[in-house]
This record gives sequence, structure tokens and C-alpha cells, in this order.
Amino acid sequence: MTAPISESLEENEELLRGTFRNCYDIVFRRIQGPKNFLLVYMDGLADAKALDNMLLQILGPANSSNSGELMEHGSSGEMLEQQLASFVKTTLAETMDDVVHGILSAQVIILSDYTNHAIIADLKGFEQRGIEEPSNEITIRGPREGFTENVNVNTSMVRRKIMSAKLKMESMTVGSLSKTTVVIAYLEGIAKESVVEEVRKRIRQIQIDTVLGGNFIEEFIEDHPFTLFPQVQNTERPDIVASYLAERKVAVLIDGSPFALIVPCTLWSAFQSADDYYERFIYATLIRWLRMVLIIGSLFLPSIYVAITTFHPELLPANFLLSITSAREGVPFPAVIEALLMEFLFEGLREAGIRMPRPTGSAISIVGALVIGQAAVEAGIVSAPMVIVVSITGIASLITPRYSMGVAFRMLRFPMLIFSGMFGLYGITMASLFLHIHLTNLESFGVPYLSPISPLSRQDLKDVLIRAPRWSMNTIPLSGSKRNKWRIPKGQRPGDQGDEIL
Amino acid sequence: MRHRLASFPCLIFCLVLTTGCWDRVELSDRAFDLAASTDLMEDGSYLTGGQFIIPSRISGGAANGGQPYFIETGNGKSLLEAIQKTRQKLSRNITRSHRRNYYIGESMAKHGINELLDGFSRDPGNRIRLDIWVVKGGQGMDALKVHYPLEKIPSVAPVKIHRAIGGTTATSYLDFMMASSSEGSSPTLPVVDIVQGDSPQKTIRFYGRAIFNHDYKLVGYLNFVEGAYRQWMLQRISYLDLAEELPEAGGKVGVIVNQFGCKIKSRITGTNKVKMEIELTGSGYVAENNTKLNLISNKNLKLVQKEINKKTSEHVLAMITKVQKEYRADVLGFNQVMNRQHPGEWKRLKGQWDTVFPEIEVAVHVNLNLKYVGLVRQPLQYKESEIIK
Repeated sequence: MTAPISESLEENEELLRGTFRNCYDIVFRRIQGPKNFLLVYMDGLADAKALDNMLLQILGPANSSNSGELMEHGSSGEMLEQQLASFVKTTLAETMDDVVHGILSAQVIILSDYTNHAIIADLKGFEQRGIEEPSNEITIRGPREGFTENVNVNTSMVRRKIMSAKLKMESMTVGSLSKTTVVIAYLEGIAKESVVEEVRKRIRQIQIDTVLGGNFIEEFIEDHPFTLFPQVQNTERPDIVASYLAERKVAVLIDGSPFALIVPCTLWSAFQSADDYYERFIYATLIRWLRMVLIIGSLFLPSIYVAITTFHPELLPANFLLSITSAREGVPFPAVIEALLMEFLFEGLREAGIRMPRPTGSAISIVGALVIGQAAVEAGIVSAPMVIVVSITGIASLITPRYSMGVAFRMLRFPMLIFSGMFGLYGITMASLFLHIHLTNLESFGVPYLSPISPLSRQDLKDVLIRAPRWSMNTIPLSGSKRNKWRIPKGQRPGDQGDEIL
Repeated sequence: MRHRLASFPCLIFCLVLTTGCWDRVELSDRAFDLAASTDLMEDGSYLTGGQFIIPSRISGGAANGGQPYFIETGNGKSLLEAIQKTRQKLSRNITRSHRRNYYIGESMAKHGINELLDGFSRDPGNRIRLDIWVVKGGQGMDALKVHYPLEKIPSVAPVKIHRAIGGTTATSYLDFMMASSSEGSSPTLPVVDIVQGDSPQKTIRFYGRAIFNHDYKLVGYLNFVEGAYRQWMLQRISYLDLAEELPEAGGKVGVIVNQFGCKIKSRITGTNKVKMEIELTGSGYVAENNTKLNLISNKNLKLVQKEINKKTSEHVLAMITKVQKEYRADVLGFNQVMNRQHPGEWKRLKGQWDTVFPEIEVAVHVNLNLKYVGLVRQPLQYKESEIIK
């Protein structure tokens, strides 16, 4: 409907009523006067209070002479718009198409007699969730704010973290029905231009009807769709977005989703938590090691248990083996079947725990703990060491600070278990080899998935296996180029300056 | 893409075919034997026995009745036949990976154990960290049957005893093989014997060392102290207590040694004449003093130290002489000393080492350093006036 706006108010109204027929939430407000006005907006989307306020300001008695003059005189919409601009953000619309879009995006349209323009007043005022602490990424000492469903709020939160004109935010509209605003945020001169261009290109190419969450975009822009490992990172925290922007990455914010997407992304982000950077570095490093051991352990522990007990019992110390043997006595299943069964049950319990309605939570935990933990062992169906192994694995797999990364490790546990059940430790070695080959083949927006370990870039290792102190992380990650290499000046180590404080 | 998807299962299939990795045996299909024995019967056949674990009796203690192990035997003309007879009685696969003890009866040891060793080295399931014990004055089966009250599985006991008294465990099989394959040396094995303890049942005791000749036949024993001296010369000991009579002080002094060193110097004094100078060093502390000497004075301590060194030197020399003249088997590592210090001469000597070894002239100097005497400075049971300062 690219029809131009007619000069006749009646004609315009008819057209709009036709377009929005059977939409009970559309509001037409006619203001009679020397010159007739028509206000069109969606009920509940526009801020009615602010609108009334605005009307009062323009048409009210204080301004009556002024407005009367305006109404008589002003044949052009520009005059009115200038008048309005002091109260609200306004734009001029030339076509009916713009008008319809304006109405749908929560704005108020002001049409008047004898004008072929419409004024779009930005009076958005729909109900939305406030800023809350993100429940999935909790920190002890970090900021407590998380993204909301409103992209404007989200961009403002990022902007507040980086008060620099270098922070660019490009807006795009994706979705033929949903018309969702997608914002690409990056730091000009710092972010890799090739990555920014690639993100722009891939998002522009998306043809989709509705965009209801981050994953709608993610699945279109990721490099390798058939892998278990996510190549786009998501986060609910503006501080994480800001820190990644400073590390040359690109963020994608999507209206309606409290999760920002960050590209490129490497495997090592699975081991990094926001709190690593808010705690002192030695503790953060130790905790990171703990996390690595447990996450990798969650992948291998059940398989190693199965492989060692069924293929290589000679690897265990005699007393340990005897305890396991006596516990396994009378268990009807082979160890690998037992492990698969228990892991399957555990995943089931976990899924139930996430999806169940809140009030039934205690029922699930009681049944889960009793059935899996106790009754199965007492009935001799499952051995106690297996329960221990599965519960350690369960806890370990929950430790990952990035949920979507943890999912990959959770799923890989099962193929690993099957390999170990078939070939023992040899099978585990082979499966890890396949996994490594796969991981080295992956890349995310031109960045190898295992970098900076493979290919090795020594400067970037400071935030991978350890969390180096802030003053030591003085180069820009993902650089590879000599230009712009330094992030902060060198030699800021406390104590370097001498004993002035004495 | 289609290509790659198809190649993946193919790869996995190759994996299956190219290895022999189908040896999956569940724990409940394995019978673990923690100890075994071989004896020579009077009719010349072998009797093997194994101490198998009963897993269901391991946990929960003795409450559910009975020992957590049982003994199964087999008899045959060869070892394999004997083991096969054992297998006929077992519902599970024998898994030897945790077998740390192997008892050999004295008659078997005297007959020679070379057949046994061949079987050991061929079996991949056999553990290399294995202790082979000679049962002095008894059959291997007797040692298997001993019920040891401290340990749930009695076969753990000899290993732990050996470790607790300062010896090196789990290497006797390996040492035996190494000694028998190197030129000149003779192999040894640790020895246990079965004694009547104070309690009604018999118990197992660490005795010392058994010496074998080149035909893997038992020639004799070293008792516990002699064996310890030998271990000291080989520097494989971590704890030793010595107690010597000091007639001039009128009592005994006991010393615990916890650091050991040994230097052997060899000299060739003529054709086929070798002289060995052995210097045993060590440091320790006084653990017992029944004399009237106050050891806090340096003079007295030096006196005790000198006396202990002299006495111990004599004992070590006696042990070496016994090995040289009586057993005529080099179990003291002299061959290696010669090989290292006189490689040229050794080439000539190694062919006739068995005749050279008994004639070696040996001098022993024990050089023990008593580092401290403890906080109890003088014997408390004597009056102040009786103490010799």
C-alpha cells in the first residue's frame, strides 16, 4: 500500500479503517476545529497519558490564540510538526505505508485536513518488564542489571557502559510479519571490519516471517548448523556485551529478546564466567581451573568408569576395585547399559525440573532422589558407584556458566559412553580424537573455534587457561595485526612504581 | 556433505575391525585372585591354588558370615594343565591383574622354578609388579590358607609386612628376572614362613631372603637381619634397627637407622683376584640405651657410634662370607660393581665369575652417624651418680 496520503481527511480515515478492519484495538480520535485533526494509534501501545498531555499543550487555553492561528493559517504539516517537536520526537510521513507502519510500531499518527503529510509522534508507552538481575548469569560482585525485552532499553544499557562515539549501533528490520528491530553493535576502529560486514550481510539476507528470540537469528547466521557446539554466544548481561565489544567482537541485539548475541565465539567462552573478572585474579584462575576439570570431567567420567570397570580393571588399586566389585555384585545390567540408563534418567529429571510448574517441584525432587538415589540401589537394579558417578557428572555438567555451551558437553556424554562401552579406553581416545578433529574444523565468523590455543596466539592465552591480572591483559584479543595492538599501556603492575607510599 | 556423512560410519567400522578390542568382560564375570601358589607334589605333578575374592562378602564386614575369599586348586603334569583344572571349577574368568603375591613351596623352589617363570612372562594378564614368595619349610598352599586377622584379604598381609619393616615391595618378580638375565648375578626372592603365633591359629611371618643359583634352584636362605644388610648394600631399605652389646659400658644400645648409603670400591689384585672395599654409610638415632653412659656428651656418643660401627661391620662381613663360601652365588651386586669400575677386566672375568666370586677379598666399613639421642638425655632408671658423663 504505497498510496500517497490524500488531502482529504475523510479519504485517509476510510483507507485506514479499511486497513485495520476487525482490529478492535485501533483508536481513531477526531478533533474538530477550524481545521480537523485525526489521531490514530493502537490502544495500549501508545502512551495515552502523554498524548492527552500533548494535546492539552497544543490545543489548551494557554495556547489557544497561538493554536487558533496555527489551525487557521497552517496549511502545511511542517508548522504543526515544529510546534510538536518541542514536546515529543516527531517525524513526517509521506505515504500511507509509513503511516501504517508507524501505527503498528506504537506511534501516534496525526493527520489533518488539506495536508498530504502525516505527523508521526513517538509516544510509545506499552507495558514492559523492568530491569532485573539476570537469573541465568549471576555474579557475586558484578553489576546486577540484565537486558529486558525492549531493544531501546538494552542499547541504552550498553551505551551507558561505553560512553564513546566509537560505539556504533546499526538498526535493521527483520521478519516479514514481526518487523523486529535488530541492532548490530560494534566499536568502530576496534571491531574487525570483516566480521562486522559479515554480520551485516548475513542478517540482511535473512528472510523469515517472525523473529521471537535470539535463536531465530542465530540459526541463520551461524557457520556450521550441524554441530553440537554453538558458534554464537548469548548473554543477558550488558557488562558482558560491553567487555566483548572491547575485545573486537560484534553484538546483535534483538527486540523482544533479553539475550544479546555475540560473534565470533570460541570454545573457551564455555569456561569463562562474568564473575571471573570481578574477583581477584588468583581466585578467578583457580575457579576457572575447577570449572575446566569439572566440565571436561562431566564429559568423560561415566565413560571412563565404564571403560575401566569392564575393560581395564587392572588400572584400579586392588581395594578400590574390590569395593566396586562388591557393589556391582548382583546388578543385572552391563555397566554401559546401567550408565546409559542412569544418565538418561538424570537428563529426564533435569528437563522435568526446568519445565514443571513451580508448585510440583518438590514432588519431582522427592521422587527423583528416592527413585534414582535410593530405591534403585536397594533393589539391586543399579549399583551405588554408578549413582555416585552419575551424580558427580550431573553436578559437573551444571557448573558451566554458559548454558548453551554446557548443552554440547551434556549431549556428547552419550556418544562417548557408547564408544567406551564398545571399545574401552581405546574407544574414549578415538572419540576424543574425532571430537578434536571436529572442533579444529569449526570456525565462527572467520575465527577458528579453538583459537587462541589452536592456532596458538600467545598474547591471548592470558584469558583462556588462566585469568591474568587486568594490568597484564594489555593487548587486544583476536588481533593478529601489529596495528592497534595495545589495549592499555604496559607497565602498570602495582609495585612497579616504587615505594612512594612509604 | 553426503560423502562425509557416509564416511563417518565407515571409519568407525574400520575401527572395530583393525583392533582386537572386544575384550569386554563385566566385573561380575571376573574372578579376582589376589594370591596364588604352586607346589611340587611327591608324584612330580604341580598343585596350583588361587585365593579368589568373593565380592558379595567384601562389604558389610564379617556380619554376613564367612571369609571374603575361597581357595580353589588344580593338579596337573604341567602348570597350564593345573590351571585348567582350576578353571573347571570356576564360574568366572580368572583375572590376575591384581595378584600381588605368589607363594612357592620349598620343595618346588628346590626343584627349580624356571617352568613357572616362563608361564608368568607369557601371560599378558599377569602383573609385573608381583612378589613371589618362597615359603620356608612348607608348601605354598599352607601360606594361602593362613587366615590373617588384620587384613580382610590375607594375601595383602605379606606385602604390607614387607613394606612396614622397610623393604621394597612389588619388585621381586622383576628383580628376579633382571638378576637371572644379567651376567654373573644370581636371583633372590623374599621368604615367608608360617609360625605359630601367640593366638591359636598360625600366622605368616616375613623371614628374609632366598638365594637361587643359575638353574633357578633354591640354595639357601638369609635370615631377616642378613637380608637387611644385603638390602643396605643394594640401597633398597628405608628402615633398620640395630642393637649391639657394649661390654665396656655394661649394656645394650639400640639404634634406628633411617638413611642409607653404600659405596663399593673394587680392585684387581692379581689374575682372577679381586678385592672389594664396602663402605656402608647411614644416619640414625638412638632408640634404646641400657648402659650407664650419658649420650648427651659427645665423647660417649662417639664411643657408642664407634662400637656399633665395628660390630655391624663384623656382622655384615659374616653375611658376605656366608654368601660367598656357602651359597657361592653373587646376590650382592658385585658383578655390577666390576662391570662399572673395570669394564675391560669384566669382559674377561664374567665367564668365570662363579669361581672368582667366592674368593673375593672383602673389607667392610660401616660408617654410621648418630645424629641425635632424643630428649631423654640419660637413662632415667639410673641415679644421677651412676651415670658416666
